[in-house]
Amino acid sequence: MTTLWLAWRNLMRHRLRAVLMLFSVSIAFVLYGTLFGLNNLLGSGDVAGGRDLIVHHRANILQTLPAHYRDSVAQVPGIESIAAVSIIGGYVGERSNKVPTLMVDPAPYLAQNGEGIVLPAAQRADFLATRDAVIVDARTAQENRWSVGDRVVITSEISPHVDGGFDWPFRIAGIYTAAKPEDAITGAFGRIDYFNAAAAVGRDRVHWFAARTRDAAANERIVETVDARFANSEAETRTEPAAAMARAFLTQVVDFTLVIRLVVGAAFATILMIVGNTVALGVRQRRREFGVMRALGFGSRQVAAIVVAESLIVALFGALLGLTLSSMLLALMSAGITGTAPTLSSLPLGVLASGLGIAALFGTATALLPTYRAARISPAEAFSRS
Amino acid sequence: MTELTGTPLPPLIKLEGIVKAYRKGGQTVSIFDGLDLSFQESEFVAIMGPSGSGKTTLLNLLGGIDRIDGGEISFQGTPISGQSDGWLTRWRARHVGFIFQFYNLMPYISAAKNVELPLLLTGLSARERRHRVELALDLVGLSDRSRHRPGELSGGQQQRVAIARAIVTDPELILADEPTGDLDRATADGMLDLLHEISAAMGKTVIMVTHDPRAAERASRVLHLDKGLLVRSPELVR
Repeated sequence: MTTLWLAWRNLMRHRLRAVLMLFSVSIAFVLYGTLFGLNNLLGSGDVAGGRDLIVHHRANILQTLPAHYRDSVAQVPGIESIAAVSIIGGYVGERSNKVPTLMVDPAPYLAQNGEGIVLPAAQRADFLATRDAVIVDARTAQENRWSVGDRVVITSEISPHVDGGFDWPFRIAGIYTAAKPEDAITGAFGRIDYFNAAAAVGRDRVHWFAARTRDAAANERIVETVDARFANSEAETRTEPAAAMARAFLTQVVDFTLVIRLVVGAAFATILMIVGNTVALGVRQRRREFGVMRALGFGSRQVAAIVVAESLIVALFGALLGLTLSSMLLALMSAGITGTAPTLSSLPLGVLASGLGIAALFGTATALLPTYRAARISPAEAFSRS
Repeated sequence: MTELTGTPLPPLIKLEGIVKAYRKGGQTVSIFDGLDLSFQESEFVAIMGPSGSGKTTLLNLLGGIDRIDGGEISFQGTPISGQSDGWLTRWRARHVGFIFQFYNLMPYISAAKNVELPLLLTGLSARERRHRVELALDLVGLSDRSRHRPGELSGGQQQRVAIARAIVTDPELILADEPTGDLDRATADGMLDLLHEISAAMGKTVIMVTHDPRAAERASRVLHLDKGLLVRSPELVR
């Protein structure tokens, strides 16, 4: 029999209360694990993490850059290839049938995405040769019953066509797959020269440039050089690792990390008060029991240790439950993005370790006031007649 | 009480010139004002008196739970008044066993675990603790109920578990607060037999606060308190 054992047995005497507290705590950890896990998956922003960079408008990724920046960026020493990219968004038929479409420089873009876009040689050649050609991923093609050679219309949500309206006619030149499921890219790719010829507005403007460097170790210098080159121009740039692109999308609206911190912080603060109050109520209801322990010779620290142990048990079990659920949610989200079956991808280790650290802090914090009260209970409470 | 040589034995616990008062409603209420009292080893003493006479306060002072305002309390010749809370806590764990009117067992653990509770403070091994718990429960006749929780035991059985908990650390002093107050006559008699045996056969000093004259008759000495004063001098009943 130990302090931990006593704490556990005491928690189990009010099982419903214990389970409800556990779920309250786990909700905060589901939020924590999912949001920080997602933040992690969106890219850590490590410049030397890979050879792919994106150069976009300093403000956000939906602001456009002049297309002529392409040549200027390409001249920066260490750049191997560069491809212009413009978003036209898009759906087919119903608005809910999304077919996200990017207009790109075909040759360099295909070269940079060899793993995510695998095409038969003939289809590849057709895409490289035909201005209104489009390539789509196999799942999108299957869902829309498209075959190579079909003529399709993708309706843009942001770019009007020179013929009026937002419909963009294409001919399907190829249907691509990915080398590995985790490299899968969903959507369609058209050609930037078609965009520049047919767009009613925004010609010769691009949303970003996808650049590949020769050596990731030189990325830091390249980033500085590129951004310095366009400093104080009409469109200043921000160059980032390609892995940070998803984050850049979100940052166009808000500071994603700040929002996560605020949401998770609010959740923890609320649940801290709920659990702290419940633990304090438990101490009030057990004044006589703690008084008896004090009379038997338990010191105030030993009584306090039981309360702290109870809080820590709730916090750690709640954290484990919450982090497990968030791991499953992340796996489902990841599957949704890549279009593959869900796999139990584990939570990033850093998020898991921080989560357990937060649980320990949370458990201690919720126990602070109840522990103070428990430690002050007099052994005379044992003789109380009430 | 004297040895064969005629030399008086030192008291187990001695109170000299005890002064104790409480603040109540902005006024000071005096409980004891110069109380002198001593208890010998192996004595079974009953303390009687009306409500508010100071019985429970006396028990709290003897157990190092409450503090005196003046005078001195010594245990085996060592002053316990004026010691720190930590010292008194350790002293209680080593030398004092408590029995309460409402048993005060932990409802969420078994009888055996309740009895083991004070042993957690002794540093004994789990095996030694188990052995002592078995002995204590055997002594109170509850070996077969060791796995039962308090809610599964009768009032008399619960009080026996409480007695086992009070003696399991082998303390010299047992303080009992109305130990038969919540029991029927027959069960109360059995409990008093047990307390008498603990005092006479095991050499423990048992000090029992009671309202029940029949319970007091079983003690070797009865003290009557009224408004903080001993109204009848120590008197050998049996």
